[in-house]
Amino acid sequence: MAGQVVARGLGTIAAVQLSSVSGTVEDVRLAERGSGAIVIRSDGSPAWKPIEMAGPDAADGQPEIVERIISQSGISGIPTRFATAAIAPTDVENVIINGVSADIYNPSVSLIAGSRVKDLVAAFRILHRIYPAAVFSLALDAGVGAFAHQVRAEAPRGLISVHLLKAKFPQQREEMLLPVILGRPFPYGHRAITFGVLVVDIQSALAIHDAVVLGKPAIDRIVALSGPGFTRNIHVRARVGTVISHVIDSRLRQPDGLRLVENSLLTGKQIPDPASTPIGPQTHNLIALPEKKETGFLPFASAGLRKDSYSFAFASRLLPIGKEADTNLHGEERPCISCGFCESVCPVRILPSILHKYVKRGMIDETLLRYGITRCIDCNLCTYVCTSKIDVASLIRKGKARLEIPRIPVKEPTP
Amino acid sequence: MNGTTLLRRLGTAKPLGRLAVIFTTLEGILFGTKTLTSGAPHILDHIEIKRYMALVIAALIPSTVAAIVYFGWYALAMIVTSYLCGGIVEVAFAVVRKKDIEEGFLVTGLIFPLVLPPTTPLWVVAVGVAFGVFFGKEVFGGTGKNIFNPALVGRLFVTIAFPEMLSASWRAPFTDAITSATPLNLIRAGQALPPLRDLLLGLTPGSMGELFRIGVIAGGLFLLATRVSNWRVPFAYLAAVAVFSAVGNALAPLKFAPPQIQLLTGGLLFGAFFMATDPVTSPVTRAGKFAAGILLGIFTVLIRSFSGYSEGVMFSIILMNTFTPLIDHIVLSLKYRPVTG
Repeated sequence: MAGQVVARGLGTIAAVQLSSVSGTVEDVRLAERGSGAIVIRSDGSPAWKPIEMAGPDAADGQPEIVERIISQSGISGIPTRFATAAIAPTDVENVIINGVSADIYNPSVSLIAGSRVKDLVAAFRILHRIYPAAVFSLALDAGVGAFAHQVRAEAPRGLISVHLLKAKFPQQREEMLLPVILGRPFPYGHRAITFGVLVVDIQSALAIHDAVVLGKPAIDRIVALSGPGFTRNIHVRARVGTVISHVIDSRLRQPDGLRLVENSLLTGKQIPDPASTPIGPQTHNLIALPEKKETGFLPFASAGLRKDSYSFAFASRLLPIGKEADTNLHGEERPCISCGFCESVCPVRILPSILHKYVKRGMIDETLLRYGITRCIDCNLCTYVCTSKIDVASLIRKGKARLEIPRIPVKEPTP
Repeated sequence: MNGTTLLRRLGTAKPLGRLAVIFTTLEGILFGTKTLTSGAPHILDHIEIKRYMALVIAALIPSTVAAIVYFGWYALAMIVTSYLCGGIVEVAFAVVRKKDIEEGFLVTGLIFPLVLPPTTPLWVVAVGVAFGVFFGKEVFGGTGKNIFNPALVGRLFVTIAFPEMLSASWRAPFTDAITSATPLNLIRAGQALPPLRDLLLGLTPGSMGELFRIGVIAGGLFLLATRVSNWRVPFAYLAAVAVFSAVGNALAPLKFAPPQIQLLTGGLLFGAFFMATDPVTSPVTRAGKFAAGILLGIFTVLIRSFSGYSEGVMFSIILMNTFTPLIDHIVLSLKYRPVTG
């Protein structure tokens, strides 16, 4: 039955794995990167097993009950006294619900939450119930101003502060949200949760409401199908664990020559084999891009009406028309000419052009630490804008990895 | 067989040996790249070095056309000579190093004849550009590794090697009369200057590309607007020249020409917009760019006012190139304190 616990971590407080469909367990096997996979054949029934003790009254009930419901719902990363999390519930000082659409392709916030303003506010009240001392914020971008207004009108006075941020990549990242919303510098290299800031995406916030008020376990995700590779760009609601090819195959423009990327074109992973990859609990976007090998005659001399660029080198920057997206390099790799584009776009204000040269020459030492290499948040913008087509971000990552303090093996105490 | 497969085959043809690099470069120019991204980021900006350099050349079109209009086909012959001889050096290095031919040369090959007087013999153009590309760029390891602006290295070399040809004889547009006096020489001699209109249109003796100053300014602003060149260096440079010459002129009017004359004579505008902005040889840091611009301004005004030369832009930029690593080093060590603890 969907919502049934199919796996449980060891220990007294541990995470649960819920079945996302009703059906029969066919196989339990190892999946990639050492994780385990449970294969369940669906019986086609849409029904799910409600979470115990959940209901419309639960939201105003004992915090302990609310926490128990959330810990049983399959939503991960919410500190409760029943589930493992980085910090204890009493240490949560700030809660930010993140609805900023600042990537290249984004799921529509108004589609996901536009008709659910009341539920979103209810989710805030539920979280307020278990984190009574925390400060609550809702981060949105200027594209959904009307929605922000509705939330403000619906929310009880003083509960939530709504922030309308500029939809500029990577504003949706917690490293960028914190300085703007809380007005304090981000300790780069750490997760926000470890110092008391819980960042929840808008889908998970609604899932918290559904779990506590409706008793619905977190068994499905709304996933946007984005990019020019799909015949229509739509949002689908799919059960977590659904094989991706079941969702996309009938909707692709062509069977071959497309690249499928999860969540973000700038930072997301390629899905080389959609037939054996499931929709994960964090999947919100599947992007299909043409693998473009032909670039036409004299591509560097074209007006570039649909060519995106940080520079104003193409006519595209003057016209408000859609840009084309493909996986071509758009030029040959050349030596760095220090054009300074990477510095200009770097959201954490380090100097990628200098850092990547140090790494390339093997000069990996404390100078890189001094120049702030650990502030890098892997947003990949420096590689994106590079005039010389150098993978600047990968070189910086390499430098960071080499500088990491090697773990000192701890000798087991002998009995 | 279409063009792209033909060039592909030539580019991998064994009998051609190392010369095959010419065809791979040509294929890249004509048909773009076929390489795809190999991971995140899955998409890349459309800007590339070819587009970048093409925009610099586009910005130089007004100056180039004006040079040809003012000085006739001889100006064109100088440009062709520069491209040919510089091109041979560039291609030879690419072949020896088994690397793609680098597009930066296309800019050097055009800027170099534009900073020469229109009376320069073609063989001097040839020697100068070959010297500039060879000693100004290739010996440092090619594009991106050079310390000095290659066009200026060539210009400096011919200035020192052939002084009588490069600084004694000048020619005004539309005339055949050889004169020894550019407006900067006139200032030194304390003589009357041509009207501002003539300076703006470039109807005075001077180097070929610097004369049509309206076109130079338009091209420079175009580069700033496209973000190909950064506004900090030219802004700081021109502002510094204006400020220092104004102060100097107030204190010693006989030594320092007033700001409006300084800005509109010689190669200042051309140098500020097209050579001081060279990203490779100017500082990377923002503060460094301002510092370099101010240094340039001081150097230029001082050289123009006190040295044996009437023009100081070339020397100033070469001098600034020398200080570039130091400026960046100072800025970085001030900005990033040592990690303690």
